[in-house]
Amino acid sequence: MLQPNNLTERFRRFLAFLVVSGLCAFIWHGWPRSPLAGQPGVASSNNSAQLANLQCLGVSSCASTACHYGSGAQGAKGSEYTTWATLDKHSRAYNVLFDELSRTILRNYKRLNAAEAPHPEREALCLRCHAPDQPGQVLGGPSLIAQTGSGLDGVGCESCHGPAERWRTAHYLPDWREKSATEKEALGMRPTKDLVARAKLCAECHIGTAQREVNHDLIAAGHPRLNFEFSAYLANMPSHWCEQGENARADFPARSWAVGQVVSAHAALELLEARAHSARDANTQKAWPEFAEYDCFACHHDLRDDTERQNSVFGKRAPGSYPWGTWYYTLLPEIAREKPAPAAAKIADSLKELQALMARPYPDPVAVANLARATQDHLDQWAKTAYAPLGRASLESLLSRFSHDRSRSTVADWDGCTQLYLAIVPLYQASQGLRGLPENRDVLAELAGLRSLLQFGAGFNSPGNFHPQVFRKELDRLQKLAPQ
Amino acid sequence: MRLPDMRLRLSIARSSIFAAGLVAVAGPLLYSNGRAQQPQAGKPAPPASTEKAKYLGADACQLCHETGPRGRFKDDFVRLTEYKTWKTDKHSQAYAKLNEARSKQIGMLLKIADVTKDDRCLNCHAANVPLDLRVGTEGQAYRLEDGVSCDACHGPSSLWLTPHFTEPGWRTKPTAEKQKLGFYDVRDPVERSQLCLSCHVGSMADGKVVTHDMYAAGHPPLPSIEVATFSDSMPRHWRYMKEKGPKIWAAFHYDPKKELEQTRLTVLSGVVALRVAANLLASQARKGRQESGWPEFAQLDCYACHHDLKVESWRLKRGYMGMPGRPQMRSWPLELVKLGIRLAGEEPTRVKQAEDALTMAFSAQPFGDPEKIAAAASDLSAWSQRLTQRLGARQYDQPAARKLLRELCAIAQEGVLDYDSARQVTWAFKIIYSELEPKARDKEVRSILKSLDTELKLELPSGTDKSILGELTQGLKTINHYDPYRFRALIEELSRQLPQD
Repeated sequence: MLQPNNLTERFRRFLAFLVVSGLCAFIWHGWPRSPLAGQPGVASSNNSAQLANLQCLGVSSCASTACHYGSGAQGAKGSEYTTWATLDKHSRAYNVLFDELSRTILRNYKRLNAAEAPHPEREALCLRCHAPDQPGQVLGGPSLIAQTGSGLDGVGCESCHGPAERWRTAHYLPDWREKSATEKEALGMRPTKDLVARAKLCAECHIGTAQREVNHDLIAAGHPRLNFEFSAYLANMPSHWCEQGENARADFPARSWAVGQVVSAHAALELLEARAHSARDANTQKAWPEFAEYDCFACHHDLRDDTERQNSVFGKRAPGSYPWGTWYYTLLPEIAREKPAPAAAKIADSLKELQALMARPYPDPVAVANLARATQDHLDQWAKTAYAPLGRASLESLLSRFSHDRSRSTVADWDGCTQLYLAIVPLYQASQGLRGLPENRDVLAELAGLRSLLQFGAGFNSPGNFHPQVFRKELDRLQKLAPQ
Repeated sequence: MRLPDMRLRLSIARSSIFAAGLVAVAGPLLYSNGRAQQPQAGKPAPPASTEKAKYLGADACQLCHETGPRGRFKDDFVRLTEYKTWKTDKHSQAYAKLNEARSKQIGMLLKIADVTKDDRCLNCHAANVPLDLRVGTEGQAYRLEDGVSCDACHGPSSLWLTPHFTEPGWRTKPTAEKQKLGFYDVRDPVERSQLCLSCHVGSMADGKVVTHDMYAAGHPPLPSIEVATFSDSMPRHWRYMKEKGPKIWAAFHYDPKKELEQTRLTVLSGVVALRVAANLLASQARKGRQESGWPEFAQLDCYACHHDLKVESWRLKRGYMGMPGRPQMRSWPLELVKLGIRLAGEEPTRVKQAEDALTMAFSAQPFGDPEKIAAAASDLSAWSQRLTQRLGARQYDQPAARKLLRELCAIAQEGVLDYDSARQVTWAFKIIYSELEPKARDKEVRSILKSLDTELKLELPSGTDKSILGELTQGLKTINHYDPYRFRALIEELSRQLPQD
C-alpha cells in the first residue's frame, strides 16, 4: 500500500503540517527498558549494555555509489542514501538548528540576554534528537558535534538501523542473509522490518523519553509540539525501501495504525511515569504537572464569547479543568474492544482513572507514576493479541464505529478528531485493499473535506478555526464508508 | 402638563409614605444598643459607634437624590440626580444580571442550584450583607434587587442618613467622625479604590472571588481596571471638587491649580490595585494544594495560555520573565505602580526584588510554588501599602502631571506590555492629560490617542444601554489581535508630543 496513489498523496499533503509541527529527528538511543521484551524483534535486556557502547560510523560509511548512493528513483534498491539525502527531512534535522527559530527557542529556553548568542547546534539537549549518530559517537552517548562542530548529517542511517561498528563490513556478505533477526540485533542492527520495533524506534524521538524530552518549557520557548501518529508519519516519510513479506500485504495501513496506537500509548505512558517520578525529586527542577501531557488547545485558544465550548466540552469534564492524554489514548479503548483479552478490558478503566488523576490541578505524582506503570503492564500483557493483524471483520467494525455517532461523542476536541481521521484513512485503505477494491473517488473527496477542517489557518499553529460540530456533520457523510 | 403633574404628586405621596416608614424604621436604630458589625476586609474602617450601621437600600436615597437641586441644597456641591444616574449605571442591574440566560448557564455548568441565592455570585452582584443588617422587608427598603446600590459604596446609611442632611457642617465634618457612623469616605482615592477593587479585582476576605471555573462556564473576563477611568464610565454621578466652583473650594480650602484630583486618583489607585491583587493572590496561594486551593488559574495571566498559537508570535519575540511556559500572575497591576515609584522617588530596586521573588515563585514549577507565591505577594502588598502612604502625602500639580505623562511613556517604551497593561497605561495617560494645562499639541495628542483607542478599545461599555456581553466579542477580538510592538510605536509617537521641561 505504499505505492504512491491518490490517497497517500493527499494524506502526505495533510500531514505536512503535522510533520512540520512535530518534526523532531529520529534517533536510536540504546534499547528502551523494554516491557515488551520477548515480542518479535525486541532485543533481550542482556544485549542492552553491549549495544549501548557500540559506535556509529556516520552516514558517509553507507553512502558509497556501489552501495546505497545509487542514482535510482525514490525507494529504489541501492539508492537509499540518495532518497534520504534529497527527500527526507531527517537528513536536515541538524541543519534546522541553524535556523532563526531554533535560535529563538534556545534563547527563550535558557533565558539568554541580548549579548549571549544561542547555539542550538552545540546544545546537548537539541543534539540528542537532531544529530544522534555522528561518526565515532556512541549512540545515546555524548555528542561529538559540540567539540568538533562538524556534524552535518542530522538523523542518519544508524539512528534507525543501529550503530554499524560491528555489522557494516558483514552486512553485504553473502552469509548475512542467512542470519536471523536476533543474530543481527546482537551485532547492533535493528530489526526495522518488524513494525513494532520500527514504531518503538520512531517513538524515542517523536514521543520522547526521560532523556530526550520535548516538554512544555521547550514548546513554550518555540519548539513545535510533538504529535506522533505512526502510520501517518510512515506514509508521509519518503520511504527509501520497499515493504516486503507481511508488510506488503493489503492490510498494512491498518496494521501499522493499530501497532502505532499501542506502541505510542506505551511510550507515552513510560514518559508520563518518568515525569511523575522526577516530580517527586526536588533536585530535578522538572516541571509538574507537565503541560505537554495535555490537550494543547484546551487552553491555547483565543477567548471568544461563544458558548460552543461550554456546551460541547463541559458536559464531559468540569469547566476549566484540563484534559489529559487527548492525543495518545483516545482511540486505544476502541482497539482493546476489538481485540479482547483479559488485560485489554482493564485498559479503558486505567486510562479513565489516570484521566481523573491528571485532571486535578496538582496531580499526585506517586499515584500517577503507579497507575502509569500499571497501565503499561496491562498493555504488555495484551501485547501479543494487540500486535496480531486486525483481520477484515475487525478493521471494518472499527471503521464503522469511527464513523458512527456513539464513538464520535467521545471526541469533542481537535486532538480526538484528528486521531479519528488518522484512523479512518488507513482502515479504509486496508478495507478496500482486502476486498480487492479501488479507493472510491467520493470517499476520497469526503476524506479530503474532513482533512481540510482539521488544517490550521495560515499563519497559525493551532486550530482556532476548528469546530467539532462541523467536523461531526462532515463525518456523517462518511456513513457510506461502512461496508454494506 | 397634567400627566407629569400627576406623576409628581404620586411620587411625592409615595415618598412621604416611605419617609414616614423610614423614620419609623431608622429612628429606633439610632438609639438601639447593638454591637458594631465587623467590617468586610475590602471596606473602610468599622464604625466605632456601638450601634449597628444597617443597610436601608436605594429607596432611602431616592427621596432627595433623584430629581435635582432644590431648597437649601441648591448649590454646586451635590447634583441630587445621583439616583437617576445610578439607574442608568450597570451597578443598579448587577443583581438583575443573575436572572439572565448566561448566569443560568454558569449556574448549570457549575452545579450551583440558584445563582440568585448563592453567596459566590451575590457578594459582588448585590449588597449581600447579613440578614440582620438589612432594614425593612423585601420590596420596601433594603432590596437585593438594587444590585450594587448606594449603601454598597457609601456605607450602611441607618446611622448617617438623617445627620447627613440635617446636621449643619456635615459636609466638612472630619472623615473619621463620619466613618464612625458607617459612612464610607469615597472622596478619598485610596478608600474608593479599595472599595471598587474589592469586586473588580477581588477579595478573599469578602468572598468576592471570580474563579477559573466561573470564567470557563461563561463569566465574562474581569478586565484590568484604572479606577479614575472606570469611575467616569459608570457613568459618574458625582462632581469632582474641581467642578464644584469657588464657593465650595473656599469651604474646603481647595485650590484647583495645586490639586489635580483625578491625577491623584490615578496614581494612588494604581498602587492600591497592586495591593488588592497581591492580597488576593497571597490568600489564594496560602490555601495550598488542597481542593479549590492552589493552583487557581484565575490568579494567573489569562492570555498567557489563552491565545491561538501564531507562527509569528510576539510572545516568542519578546521572551519570557521566568521559565517559558510557566504562567505568571496577571501583570497589569505591576504596571501603573511604576508611576507611583517614579513620582515618589522610591528606590526601584526594592520593588524589583519583590517582583523578582514573585516571578521566581511562579517560575519554580508550572503554576508556581504556592508557599513562595504567598510570601512574595504578601511582601509586595506590604511594600505597596507603604508606597501608598508616601504618595498620599504629596502634591499633584501641573509639574507633577507633566512628569507623570513623560514617565508613563517611558514605562510603556521600556517593556513589552501585554494588552491589559497597555490599556492601564493609556487610560492613565488620558486621565492625567485631561488635567494638564496648557495642552500645547492637543490636536496631535488627540489623534494618537484615537489610534490607541483603535488598538486597545479604550472605550468601556458604559451605562445600562451598553452590554458587557454585547461588546465582549469585539473586546476579545481586540485582545486577540493586540500587538505590543504596534502599541509601543504609538507611545513613542505620543511621547514626542509632550512638553519637555
